[in-house]
Amino acid sequence: MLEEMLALGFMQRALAAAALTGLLCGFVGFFVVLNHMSFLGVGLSHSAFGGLALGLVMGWPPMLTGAAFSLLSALGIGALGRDRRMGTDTAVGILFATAMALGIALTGLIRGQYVDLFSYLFGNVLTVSSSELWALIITAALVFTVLGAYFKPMLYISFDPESAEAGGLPVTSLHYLLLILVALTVIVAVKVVGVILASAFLTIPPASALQLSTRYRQVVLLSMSLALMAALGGLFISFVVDISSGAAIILLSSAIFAMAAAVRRLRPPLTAPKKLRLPS
Amino acid sequence: MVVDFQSVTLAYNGHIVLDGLSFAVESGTFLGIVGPNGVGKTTVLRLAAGLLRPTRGRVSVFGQDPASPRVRSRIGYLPQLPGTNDIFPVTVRDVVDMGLLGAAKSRPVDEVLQELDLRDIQDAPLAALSGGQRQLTFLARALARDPDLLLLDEPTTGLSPMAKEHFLARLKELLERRRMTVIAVYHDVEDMNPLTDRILRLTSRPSPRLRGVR
Repeated sequence: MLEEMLALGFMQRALAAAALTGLLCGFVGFFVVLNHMSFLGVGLSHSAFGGLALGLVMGWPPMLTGAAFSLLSALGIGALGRDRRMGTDTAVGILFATAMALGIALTGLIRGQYVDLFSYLFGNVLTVSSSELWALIITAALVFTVLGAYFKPMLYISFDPESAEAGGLPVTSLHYLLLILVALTVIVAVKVVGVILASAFLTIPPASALQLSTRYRQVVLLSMSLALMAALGGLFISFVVDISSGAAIILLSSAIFAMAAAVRRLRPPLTAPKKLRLPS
Repeated sequence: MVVDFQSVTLAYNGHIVLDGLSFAVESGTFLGIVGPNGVGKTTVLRLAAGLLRPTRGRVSVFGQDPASPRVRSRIGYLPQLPGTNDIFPVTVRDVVDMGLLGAAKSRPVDEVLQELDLRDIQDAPLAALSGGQRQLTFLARALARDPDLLLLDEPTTGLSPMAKEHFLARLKELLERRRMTVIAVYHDVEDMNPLTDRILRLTSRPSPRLRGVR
């Protein structure tokens, strides 16, 4: 069965795309979960839907228009979210609903391309072309390089933004950079698991890793490993059972999370390492 | 002067939080800021850290704009109840390491951990620490920068009496060893470190004013 699967050209591309997306989501998702940005992931992936529909209507590459919508939404959410009277969640709610409504409105203009649009809604990694795979590789390389270079400052601004800013880190710029990297990751994930499930792939693997470790280096490696496992395992299950690959990947991720949560509950709770010594 | 506030007014949402506050802090001075809730104690500290800009007046630190990277690289800042995000997978050492980012100078992390009695628990996850241990960890993060100006926002609030005593004793020890300028906000005058040279007592009316106590 496995040999038969690996012999197929489209399946080789699908496996490469799924593996790369898993690694990317596991890495970027670490910051998404720590910054409580899961809803932002939902917003950015749904914003991409408007761009995808526009691309299909206009005959432009849908992934490019989707990426443009996702990036613009990220910047808009960043700007609107700084307004204390609004907050990030309200900004996400406004922008993603607007882009989604635009996508639905444009759907009426798409004649005969419903199948394409639905493949983006639910994801279809089996249709990844060579050029799309290259675009994915370049995007992933860019995100890995930039986030790798700024990993420690990102960790600090995620942990304690006020102290990071007082310490001289450009917190606002780094926050926008993180939003852009999340938007790029979302658009990659949309092709593999679809608009509806993309945010889940950014959230579930790091959330699972956080159940298993209290050290950030281990959490990042575990998050990437678990996402890779879910991506490849889900793809294999979808091939064997003949179900949607995106759904299979997310369901496997959720099963891994359930196991990780169970493992954590079996462990003793964290306690203070020693009593404070009073000064002599 | 290390810190200089000249007729500083700060309005927020049409509310005047500080009105024409002037004071200066000389090098090596320990200034304690006290006053009732909502009077603007933390605001003064945040202005000195360059996190807020005055609506009117001028704040300078080391003779420059406190928001400039050159000034910030010389400041150690301990905000009120920092890092309360318990899901964050960091150890004591990771937190202290963060302090080195953007710093003009630094001290060996091992030395700082030793000084604050944290070496034995350097690999402990932050989520497992007691309140006192956490606060010492955040103080260590500020000290790892070898700061010329240390800003402390209610450093002992929420600590048990034992942890409070331990924290203040460690702070006293290190200030005896190393001269630096300190501005600390306190909720209660009783919490103030014995090393405090001057007190800035903020009141809602009349305008905030400075009183020297020594």
